[in-house]
Amino acid sequence: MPKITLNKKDTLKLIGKNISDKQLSEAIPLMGTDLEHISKNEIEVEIFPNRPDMLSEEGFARAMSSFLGIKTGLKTYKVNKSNYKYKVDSKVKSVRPYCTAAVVKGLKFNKDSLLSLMNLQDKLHTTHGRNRKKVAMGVHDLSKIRFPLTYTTKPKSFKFRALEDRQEKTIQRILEEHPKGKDYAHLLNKKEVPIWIDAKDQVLSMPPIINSEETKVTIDTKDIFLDLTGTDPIAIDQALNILVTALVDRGGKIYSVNNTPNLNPKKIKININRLNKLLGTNLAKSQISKLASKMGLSYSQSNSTMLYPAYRADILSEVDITEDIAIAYGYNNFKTSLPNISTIAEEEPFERFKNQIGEICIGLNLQEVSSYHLSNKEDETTKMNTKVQTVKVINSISNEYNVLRPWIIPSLMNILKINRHNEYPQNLFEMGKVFIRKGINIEEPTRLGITLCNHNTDFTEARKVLDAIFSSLGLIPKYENTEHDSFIPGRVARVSINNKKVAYIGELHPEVIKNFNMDMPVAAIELNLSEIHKILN
Amino acid sequence: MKKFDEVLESLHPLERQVLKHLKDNQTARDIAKTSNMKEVEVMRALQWLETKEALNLEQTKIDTIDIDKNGTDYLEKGFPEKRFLKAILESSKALDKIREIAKLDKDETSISLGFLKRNGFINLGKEISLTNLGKNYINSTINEDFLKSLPKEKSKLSTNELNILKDLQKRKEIIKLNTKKIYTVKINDLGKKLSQSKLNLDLIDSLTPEIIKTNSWKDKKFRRYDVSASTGASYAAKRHIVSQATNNIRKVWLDMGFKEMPGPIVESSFWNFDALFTPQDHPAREMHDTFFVEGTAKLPDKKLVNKVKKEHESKWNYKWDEKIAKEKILRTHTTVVSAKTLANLKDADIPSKFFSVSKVFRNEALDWSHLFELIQVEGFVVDPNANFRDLMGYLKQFYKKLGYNEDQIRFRPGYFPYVEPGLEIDVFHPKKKKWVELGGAGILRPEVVIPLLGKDIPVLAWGQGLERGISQYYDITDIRDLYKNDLKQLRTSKVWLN
Repeated sequence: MPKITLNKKDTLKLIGKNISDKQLSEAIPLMGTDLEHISKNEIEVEIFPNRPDMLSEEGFARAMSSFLGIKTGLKTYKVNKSNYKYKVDSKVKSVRPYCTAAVVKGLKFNKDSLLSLMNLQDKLHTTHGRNRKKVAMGVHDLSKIRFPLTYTTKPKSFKFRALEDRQEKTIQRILEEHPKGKDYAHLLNKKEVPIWIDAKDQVLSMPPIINSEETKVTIDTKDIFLDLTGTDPIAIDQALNILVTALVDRGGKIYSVNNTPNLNPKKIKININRLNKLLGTNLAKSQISKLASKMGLSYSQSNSTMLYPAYRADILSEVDITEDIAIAYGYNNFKTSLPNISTIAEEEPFERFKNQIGEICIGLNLQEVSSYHLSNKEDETTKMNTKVQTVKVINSISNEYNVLRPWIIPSLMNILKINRHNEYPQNLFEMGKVFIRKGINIEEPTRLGITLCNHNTDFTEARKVLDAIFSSLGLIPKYENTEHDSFIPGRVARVSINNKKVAYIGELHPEVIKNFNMDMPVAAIELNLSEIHKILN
Repeated sequence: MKKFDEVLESLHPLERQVLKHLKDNQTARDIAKTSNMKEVEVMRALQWLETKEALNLEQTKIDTIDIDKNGTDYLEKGFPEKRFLKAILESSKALDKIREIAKLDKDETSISLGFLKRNGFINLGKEISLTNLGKNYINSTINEDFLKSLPKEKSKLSTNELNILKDLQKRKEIIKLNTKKIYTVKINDLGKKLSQSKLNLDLIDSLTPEIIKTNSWKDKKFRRYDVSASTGASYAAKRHIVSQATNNIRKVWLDMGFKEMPGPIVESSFWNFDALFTPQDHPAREMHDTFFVEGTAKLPDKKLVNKVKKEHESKWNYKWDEKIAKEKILRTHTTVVSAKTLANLKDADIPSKFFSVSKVFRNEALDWSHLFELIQVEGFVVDPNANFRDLMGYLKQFYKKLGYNEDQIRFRPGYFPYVEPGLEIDVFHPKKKKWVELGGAGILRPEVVIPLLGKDIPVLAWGQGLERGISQYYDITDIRDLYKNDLKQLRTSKVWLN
């Protein structure tokens, strides 16, 4: 979830009332925002990803002001008609198909408000814009642009001066050399790249990478032009609405470009009975109305419609409004209830079986241990002196944990290894899933691994343990000689029940023991519990 | 003070033997020689006599140093850093190659790299190269000579040898320090009196079947034991602390009438994300949060897949891609188990309540507060009459059963793509005196429920991490300690008594 740091003074000014830190720290979580901390000059919050409109001082203050009852109700925004126009070249379809734009005039930037606008863009890019893939935006000084504009494409040999660059460079070079070019070049993989260009062939931007230096916004800029492009027409409109309404909250006036932005409130039908039933409340229409206005919404009682502002990007269904009403009502005001319905509790049979096995093992004085399912090939195969197929995890950030374990004994060996300084005997067991590839499927049987480790541990001791487990389960095992490179030849057996192979048992080979930096004999058992459970049922 | 006779009758045969030869200012070794006993036996008897307040033992320490496991190993194969340097000399410059030639494992490689860099013996660049200092170092045998001269008493080392020791002690298991304690007897009045007493009393020491059978105990006294003396430790094998905690939580849900649901760890993106209305470009699905497993998964029946696809395309407004849904992953939450369980419910199964307590996976680096494998406590209630207040009610009941008071549980808004309304649960940490976030919950969105269940019925759902609670219970500050499996910790930990 995106964390943002808000300028406290600026935010309080926008809220329109001086509120104490204590009040703020109580109200912020209740409004649906995670509060990180409040300091002398800053408020740090984590905005839920469904509320990109709250990613700046303006949007956050707007929601807070309404929630606290200072400026409630649906806020309307006027869009002034204008002659600002742009053309869209059909070539953009295969490159970056959607675009939208607006003009905002009469702004008076200072250091804080300019920074706030840059931060908002930045946060919208990473979250709502999915790292600029879905939505990217550019802000330009209107006085440096000549209309009409064109949204078109250009080859990579085309030149312009990118933001912060000293001279013109080819697009190819910008993509290779400019810091933003390097970061986002992967988003442009076609021969031609998208370009906003004005009537005098002055480049505005190369979305979603970089703006031109020539149209840069400075602290003296009064009027701005906003360009938005992307792969989702709804998402770019939402981003545009969030930007322009934030700028209006700073005193700007919106002018349309082509026919955007459209800031008319949106509508959604609400079924009050369903809403009340879901919340377990009995709210009258008038109460709903009041609560809605606390969330910046407007409820029309006559046609059961909720109007919501065009900058809200999270309203998909009635339940989204239901939550807003719940937030306005106050989560701490709900009286909790416990329904009196009859249901039968049921333990998962295999979990119960595992606990029974656990009890037998404890009875045999084996200490249970618990390790990770993720391991590495070296521990599972090389160190165990054997070849077992492992299932790979493609993108693990750690080389120590990049395969799913195919058996349990290596996990136990690692535990014995780290416990060399502790008292012996160390007799351990672990029950857990192992992962085995069967065709395109991955099977996840649960196995019981046991290791006995002491200066005089041997096969006989392990055999007694395994026999005790089988006899506790009423099973009669058959032990047969087998070969397994992890064990001493002639001291390892394959164990079967009704001709089903269910376990290995043996003395581990000294080489294996040394591979785990130990010098104490180890006898080990690996038993397939899933198979045993099947046999018993 | 105990009665003299009682003390006399409580003397162990070893004590009696020692007392016969006991003189002031002797060491255990001296007594062993004169009494012809083993030194350990003498020591044991002396300690018992000390607890009986018959003498005092004065302690002096002598430190001896000896070669340890790795030291022996290095003497045989060569120190890893030297093998490393020799491998460079043999004209290999890439790390992998050096590792192979020098036969170094992971640990040894990093030890060598650190050591050689610190001392300026190698230059690291695209290629690893040897410095002049490094070349000289290959032929130095200071460490080897020192190791061969061991064991030695520490107080007898030269300054030079002490410096070598200091360096070697920084490294793992090359040198071990043995501290030998020597005890000298300081006898007191009781001790003197005991040693002068008639010590060959005919007491029964261990009771044997023979003694019981023959009634020979009838005219003899039993040697009295010191029942307050401490004995050696004996450990009760136990379930692992995480198993105990898991079972405790399972029991709470079972008490509340919930049914346990099973499910696999390797899942498809379809069930883990798509069926839970998480758009395919959602940040949570990205590589750095999710473990992807090789291979492709099978999707469930086409009808269900199409319903899910339709919800995504109409509500999130993008082209839903079956290929992405087929990616194999390690489940990132057990909400996936709930989704699958829901999809298999029949009308007759409603209302019902389910839970699971099992592992989920996040592609994160291990550190004191992060694990890549976590246990999630998952649950849901499907009930046509269920509502938001009930959701809070179930959760409150659960936390009350875990020992929190009503006023130590609070709810606040929360966001998860598959629920609305959503909430976060905080409980009050009595020691830290602050609210701690424990989990999330909500009512599943109709976009999730309708494709899975075929109709819109309220489904209250929640998921909470378990590790934080266990760490609190055991006062663990580094979350990795939960899976460290240190036997000392496991053997001496208390059982879960909630």
